[in-house]
Amino acid sequence: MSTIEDLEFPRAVLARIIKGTMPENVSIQKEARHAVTRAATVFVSYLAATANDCAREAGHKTILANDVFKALEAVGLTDFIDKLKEDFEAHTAMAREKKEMKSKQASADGDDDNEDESDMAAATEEPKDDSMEVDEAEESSDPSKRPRLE
Amino acid sequence: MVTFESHSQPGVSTLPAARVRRIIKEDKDIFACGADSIFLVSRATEYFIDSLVREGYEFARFDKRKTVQYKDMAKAVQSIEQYDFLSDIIPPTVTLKKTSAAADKDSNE
Repeated sequence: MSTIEDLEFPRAVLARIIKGTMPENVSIQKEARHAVTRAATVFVSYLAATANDCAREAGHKTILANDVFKALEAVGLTDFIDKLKEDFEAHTAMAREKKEMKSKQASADGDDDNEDESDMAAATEEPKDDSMEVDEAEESSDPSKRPRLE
Repeated sequence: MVTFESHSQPGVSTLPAARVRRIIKEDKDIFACGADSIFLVSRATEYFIDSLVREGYEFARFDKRKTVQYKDMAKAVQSIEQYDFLSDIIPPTVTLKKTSAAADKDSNE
């Protein structure tokens, strides 16, 4: 079982987002910052659970991108949707470029100087986003989460 | 609702994907979540934080303060319907006066 600290976002990351939101001369009290920290984690759970419901309604078990968009509509946070669609296009384009670079690398007898990879690593904790395109159930050793044949 | 900004490049999230994934994984009702979905939830969370903080800041500004306090966040949660899911997470603080009055009432019954 994860502890609450395992489920909270790193303080520095949140501080940067919060700071970027407010004008220069404005500060945030510690208690207010903690509230935002908790809210962020709860939001992830809330959105994911809603997206899960959307996935079920659509007849599949894995939460797909469209389920997340549907979920945002369901919870009334429609303001985010347009921007998120742009993000998704950019993200998909980046992933495609990375794949193309990798296959070019593989076909050539090459050195391994994959610059894109280091950019991704700097931006997110997990440099290989593709590796997460796996069923959570497959990865976990928890028997209750193994894919069942129905 | 107020508008918001992205704090990073469009295709990339500043929130650690592994942490987002772990929070999602805590929910035993969730069977599986694609990598794209994790990215979208992560990005949506950034927008959400941005939105929540801005709303809180509006209350501070209304009070002519340059420091956003807990009570501003609580007021933001109370005033916006889409934030109802946070009502237990960021409750309005109850003053000591109210709690002791409630305690007196209980002991008299």
